[in-house]
Amino acid sequence: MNDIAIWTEKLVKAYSQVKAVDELSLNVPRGGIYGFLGRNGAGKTSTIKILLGLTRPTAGQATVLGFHVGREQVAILERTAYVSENKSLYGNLTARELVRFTRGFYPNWSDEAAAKYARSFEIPMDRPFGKLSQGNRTKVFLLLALAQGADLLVLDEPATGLDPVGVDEFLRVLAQDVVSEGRTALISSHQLSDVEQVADHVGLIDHGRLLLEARLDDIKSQFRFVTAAGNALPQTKTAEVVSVTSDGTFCRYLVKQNADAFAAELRRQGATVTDVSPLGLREIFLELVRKEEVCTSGNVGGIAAAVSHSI
Amino acid sequence: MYIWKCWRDSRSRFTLYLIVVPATCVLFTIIAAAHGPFITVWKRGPVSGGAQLWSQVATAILGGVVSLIILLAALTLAVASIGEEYKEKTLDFLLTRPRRRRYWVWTCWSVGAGEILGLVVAGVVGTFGALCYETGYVYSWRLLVTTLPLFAGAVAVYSLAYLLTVLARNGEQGLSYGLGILFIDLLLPLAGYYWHVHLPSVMSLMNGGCEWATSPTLAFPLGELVLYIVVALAFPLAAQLVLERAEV
Repeated sequence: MNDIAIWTEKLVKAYSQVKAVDELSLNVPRGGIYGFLGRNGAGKTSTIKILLGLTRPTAGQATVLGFHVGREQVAILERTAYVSENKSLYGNLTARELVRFTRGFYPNWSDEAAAKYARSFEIPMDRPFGKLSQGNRTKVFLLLALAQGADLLVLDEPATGLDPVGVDEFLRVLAQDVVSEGRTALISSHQLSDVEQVADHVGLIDHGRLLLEARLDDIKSQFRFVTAAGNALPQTKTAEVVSVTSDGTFCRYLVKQNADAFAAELRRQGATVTDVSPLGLREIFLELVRKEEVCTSGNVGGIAAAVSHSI
Repeated sequence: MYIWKCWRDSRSRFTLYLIVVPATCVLFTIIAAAHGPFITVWKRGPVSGGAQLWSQVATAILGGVVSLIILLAALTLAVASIGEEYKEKTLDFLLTRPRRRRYWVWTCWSVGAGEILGLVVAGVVGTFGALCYETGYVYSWRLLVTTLPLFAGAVAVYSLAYLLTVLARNGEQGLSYGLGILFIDLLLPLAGYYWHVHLPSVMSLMNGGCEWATSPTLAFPLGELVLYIVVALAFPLAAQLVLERAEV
């Protein structure tokens, strides 16, 4: 358990009849960046709120840095920095006053780091928060989180309002400062290209359910689209075939490993394999989420279970 | 840290009231010193002359006009404290700082309660200071005890508005509900007068405490005082229970 920063088991959060989080089992390893990806309303923020004690789970259990969510909440909050999706802070306080307000709560707070990030993010420290642009508000949140010296950073849509330079600077800080110090960051986002640049692991979530959890390197090196033409092509998913899309005599398979062997097997069955191509995170995300729209929930759970062992 | 932030949120209102309350006391005291006999018609029971008369005048001012101002101040200070968190939508930021939720409730409440105590002391000192200056009499220590019922009544109203704000998750609604309840409270002595029943009311506690200071024959409203202090502490306790169970 020591190498796991966040662990959840069959976590459920239901609002009346709607399940925002549906039997979610996550394993976020320590010492890296975990991209927690999903569409708007997929259940990312609800999951984060449960982990930080802002809301209670309907069922299931979770630990953060080895501390039980709900029972040891203060211990979790002492070691966790949080940037919320809602970037609201006290409008009449300046960024400098917000730093002064926040620093007292954290024994590992670093004034040097706060000054460094204020400079690198170019934050107007003496302007009231309420008069800052959306991008600068986000930067203030990031500064407050990064200077805490927290073991875990939970960043919910951290790039909201940032311009490309700001996003680039933020990603550089994450890659250089957070990872190099052995800290863990969970980035919840639907900006796949940003996450893909820095994440080590990703978890894809939709309708509150985990679709995929894997190392990003494994995804890039092993996941392939295999396109084939022929009669009586296999239409069913297997341990290796994550999804199948059929269009007349053409079939496109999302294969999570051993794509070449799978293609060879198709050829042996008389099919013509027209393409075996690697995928980016975006293609996998779109494929799985679109499949999720037509899949039953049982199938989706099967995908997560099939892929999760590769972490 | 949070004490500083709560103080920063409420200090402008507090400063305003800190000017208004003693100024009102001084103003009414000067008017009373000039037209004393008119003021005495507010008082029940026999009125003697000299320092006793002026003590009764002072407690009438404190128990009447000043009490009302302090109660209104208490309501708005409740909104200025916890209400700001709802107004600014900062509760998720606050509740993810490493403190138990009860810390936020009681710290915020304590700042407002301290400010109310400051206002009450300013009112009492202002009134008797002005009276000493105007009349040249030295007044009994009992007059300072008026601080207790004034504070207990005001802090009970403050605590009620505080709880209502937490329940409504909105400072303005908390203030509206608090004003409504205060209005009903002001009507209770009238109901008691017409139907000859004693209904506990904040204003009667504040008035009664002030009357005791100048009437040695009256019993000190200790029971009522204790009741209101318990109530004043029960409301933030209830707010704590609400916030501890709240989902943000």
